Amino acid sequence: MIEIVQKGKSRPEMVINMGPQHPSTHGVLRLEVTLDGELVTHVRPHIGYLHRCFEKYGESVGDYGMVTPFTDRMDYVSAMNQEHGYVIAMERLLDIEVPERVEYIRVIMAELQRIASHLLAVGTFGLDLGAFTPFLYVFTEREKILDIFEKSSGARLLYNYMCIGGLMRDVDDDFKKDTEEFVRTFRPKITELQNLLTYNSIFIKRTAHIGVLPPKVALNYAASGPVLRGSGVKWDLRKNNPYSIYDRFDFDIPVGEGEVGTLGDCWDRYIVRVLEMEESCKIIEQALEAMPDEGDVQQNVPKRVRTKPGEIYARTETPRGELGYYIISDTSAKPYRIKARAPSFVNLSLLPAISRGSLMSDLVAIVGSIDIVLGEVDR
Amino acid sequence: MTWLESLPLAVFVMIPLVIILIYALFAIWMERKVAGFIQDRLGPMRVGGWHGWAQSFADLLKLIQKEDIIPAEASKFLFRFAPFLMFAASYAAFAVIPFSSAYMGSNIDIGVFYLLAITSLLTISVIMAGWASNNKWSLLGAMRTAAQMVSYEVPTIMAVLSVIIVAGSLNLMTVTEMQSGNDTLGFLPNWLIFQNPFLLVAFVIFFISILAESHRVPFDLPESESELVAGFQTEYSGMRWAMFMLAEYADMLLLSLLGAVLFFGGWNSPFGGFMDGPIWGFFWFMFKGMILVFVMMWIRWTLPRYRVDQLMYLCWSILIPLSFINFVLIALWEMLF
Amino acid sequence: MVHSFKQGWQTLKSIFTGMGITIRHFFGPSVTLQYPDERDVLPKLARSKLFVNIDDCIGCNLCARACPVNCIDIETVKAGADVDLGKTSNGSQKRLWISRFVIDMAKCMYCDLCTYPCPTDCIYMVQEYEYSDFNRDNLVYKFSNLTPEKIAEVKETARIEAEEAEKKKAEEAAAKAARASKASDSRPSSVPGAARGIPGSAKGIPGKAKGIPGASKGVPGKAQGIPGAAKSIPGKAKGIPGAAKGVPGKAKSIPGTAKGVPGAAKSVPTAAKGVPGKAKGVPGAAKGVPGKAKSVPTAAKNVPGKAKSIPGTAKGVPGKAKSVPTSAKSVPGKAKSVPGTAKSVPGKAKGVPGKAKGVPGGGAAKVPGKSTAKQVPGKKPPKENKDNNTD
Ligand code: SF4
Ligand code: SF4
Repeated sequence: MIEIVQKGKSRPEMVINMGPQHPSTHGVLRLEVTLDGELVTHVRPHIGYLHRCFEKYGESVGDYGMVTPFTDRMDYVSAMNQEHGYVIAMERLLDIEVPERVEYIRVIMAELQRIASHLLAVGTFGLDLGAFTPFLYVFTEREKILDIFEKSSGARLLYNYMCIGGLMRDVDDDFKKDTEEFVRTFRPKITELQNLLTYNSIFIKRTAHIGVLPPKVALNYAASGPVLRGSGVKWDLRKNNPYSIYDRFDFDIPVGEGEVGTLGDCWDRYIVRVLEMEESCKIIEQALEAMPDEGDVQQNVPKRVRTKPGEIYARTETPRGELGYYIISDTSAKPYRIKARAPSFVNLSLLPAISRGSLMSDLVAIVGSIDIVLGEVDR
Repeated sequence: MTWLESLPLAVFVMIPLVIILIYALFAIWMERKVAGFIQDRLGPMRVGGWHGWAQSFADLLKLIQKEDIIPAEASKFLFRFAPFLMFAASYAAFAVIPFSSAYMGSNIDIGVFYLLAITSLLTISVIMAGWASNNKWSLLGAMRTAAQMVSYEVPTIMAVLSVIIVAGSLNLMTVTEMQSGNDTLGFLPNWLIFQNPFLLVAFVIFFISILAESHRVPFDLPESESELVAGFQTEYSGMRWAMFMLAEYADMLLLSLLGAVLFFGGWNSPFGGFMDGPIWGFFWFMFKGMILVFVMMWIRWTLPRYRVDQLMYLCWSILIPLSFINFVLIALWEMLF
Repeated sequence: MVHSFKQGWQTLKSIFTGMGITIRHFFGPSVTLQYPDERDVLPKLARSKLFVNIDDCIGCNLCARACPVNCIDIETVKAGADVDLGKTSNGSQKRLWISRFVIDMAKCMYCDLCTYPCPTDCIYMVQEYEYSDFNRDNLVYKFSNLTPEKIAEVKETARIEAEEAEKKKAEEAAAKAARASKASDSRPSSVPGAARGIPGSAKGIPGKAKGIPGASKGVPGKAQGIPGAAKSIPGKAKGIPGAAKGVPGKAKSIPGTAKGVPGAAKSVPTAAKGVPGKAKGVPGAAKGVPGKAKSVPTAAKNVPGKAKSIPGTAKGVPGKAKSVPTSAKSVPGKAKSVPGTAKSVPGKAKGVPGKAKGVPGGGAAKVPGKSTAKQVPGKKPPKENKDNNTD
């Protein structure tokens, strides 16, 4: 019957495979978990089930512009941010000045996407802990964002909206109105989420003191994004190394404070996401206000991308952390090399370190709180 | 006795079965509707026309048609036997539930005792299913269930006993009968929950415990889908799985009905003599049971779930001491008044 | 004690808060859209399915080139000088018959990149989103509006026209080639530009590189395949395929045999066919697989009019090379033997240095005249055209 491994003289252990088809591994992650009863003694993540050769594709499709749709597909829940990072890298490589209006639209899109992505993250986090309903509430809100995206770009998930030097097309006429309306109705929903989930005592019991990631460990593992900020490290590229026009906005960087548990626990990582949504709302409001109403979004788009031999590394802050693109160009139409530094991948590497000694159920909470997207981990 | 002579008896015995089946179909549909409405959705809408009322029938038909899969390495006999044992245990317990003043399967004097004893069989069937599946997830789920059900039996029993002290009988029919009338504080029905402030506490303990006993959120660890895939049911499919489902819903109803008898006057009408009688009695009884079932669903679609150690902590460190204290207080109250 | 009571109270309070929220939603409105009965209004930009307004398409192929996943396949046939195909709605003159325009929606990733470059804006996204199917093949949408007969007809016309032009060129080229071959024996006599029916691509094998593309040369009036003698120079190997040319009346093209395959290279051209009037020898594709080389050209065919005989591509992959040219079509990027300029670059080419020894289409070097091209008078254009039919 069931095999129970007897290792040396220690207590009997059982190895189980969590995933790749498991409800809470957020895709096709496989965790090889060694259990002592329900106690996790060791976790080994196995990745690669969703590998789609992003980097190789990037080097073999026709030209630089054709890479954008593939960046979408890396982290498919925050496609706008992925595109944003790529076009910024390319614009720096080619020395392209982007029109004001384009910058504003990009920032608004990126922040909306950040909200959408965080909504998904907190929703599925709740789902992992058994709270089904908040998941659907946040999905309703996410739908509204996707509607805004669809109106402007034509797609709901993989937009291919930004292009090198500009945008594929101008935003929809209703864009400003829709976005304002969304931000207005969204704020009360955050409060509702806080009451329903964040401060629910069962939820707190399940997340406080669980999967504690001390700031030092986080830095050593090169964690980024909410995982790093959840440990109390105030590091956000939008502030620390502003790209695009982020230096013009006034917003805070929420960090974990160990409000209900230890600093750097699952709850802290979760609350950072919730608070960031609020900050994104602030940025969107300011951007909507300052955005020029007129302007050709295609005016600086190069007809053909011609590169000189060179290289660039550009990093941006996606909802999951620091996304970097390293591009080497030569004189041909295609990139010689594209490498993406995927935050999910780096953050996932923390998992064994912070889940040792926790319970099986906590492991689910920890995986949820790291908020990985397997598309990005495997690329 | 020829078979003809035993026919009335068979029909008599079958009555709860019919109730359970109809209720299960209804409750599954209702669960979906409640979930749907709570989540701003609509739930099933298509099968059968009005609000998809026939959805459960459609599902039942589907489940019947499904292939009966038994894992190659499973312990075949136990694997087949577990779902039936589970359902049998739930069903047998209905024998002592007074559905109305006119119907009760078996009017025995140790009704409550019998009921609590027979539902303990559920634990065995769950372990049986988990072990026989030869699946690690199932085993983990089964172990959790066993621990959980055995633990929560203690507070359940203490809460039930508190009521029994007040009622003075183990026969559920007697307990119900003594709750008729509408004299408490002049207008409230004579239900036990209004009789004694500590019974209110007992009810809270009882309700929490039956949530755990019937594996409902926040105590649905046995089949916590996001951790253990589906717990002890992982390897089951088709009708065998449906049996588990049926037993689970039957269990939920059973415990809710028990709550209705013990705290809310069973088949007694809330309006004294108005709308009274055996048929109305049945209606009121089921109505009260369904209200409790609804609350269980409502909770399910609101809360996250506890972790297994927290569940045990809640039981052994909070509920059990509390129920003992409460038990003593109720006894004192009864002596004083 | 007090602390635990406080905690208990907190727990209950938060539970009741939550239940309050959910019950409000219970009685609140739902957001469900009863899909098949009610439908969302899609924004006008929604990208759901590609559509091509074929009347406006000028066959410029820009959309196909813009697609990152190559799901658009366009084939065009030049219209005769005297045929007017009309103009597109924005006034550009159409010059090409679109004999094939298919989009494989199963491959498409809806990136919309194909719609931007179109000069006539005739490829665009439409809002139809319910086209899932049980069969992948049904997701291949065909847009060409020419009937198979029409396609055959226009192809024939184009062929004749092309042949006419070809003939002239060929004569010139042959004359030149003859001169060239006299000048130096070791040089292939094929004249780029005129090279037709070019036997497999030469591959250079560093160190031993020998691309010996046979060169069938037809001398007008006496066409004979004369195995050329391309040489690939290690390090710079360049196979120069000879030019097989059939001269009407006597065309003979001699399919080359692959040679220099250690072990057992064999090229068995089964059906080199000349097209009457202009016989073109299509050498089978040689595959030099050390030990296993097999080239089974099954149907090298010259397609008159477009005369392209594409000799299979020879690929010497040590141990596994197989070139099975089935239809004579050179697909750029795959066809490694580009008539007249076959080049094998050792190391990158298909020749695998050191071991690949397949010498594609070595002219008659060994078996000259063994499998000769056949003239099939009156033979219609090859079969592949059938695939191009569109509906
Ligand atoms: S939408 Fe993109 S993938 Fe689809 S055909 Fe056009 S370019 Fe190709
Ligand atoms: S880009 Fe437009 S005109 Fe050119 S081939 Fe494509 S559809 Fe036809």
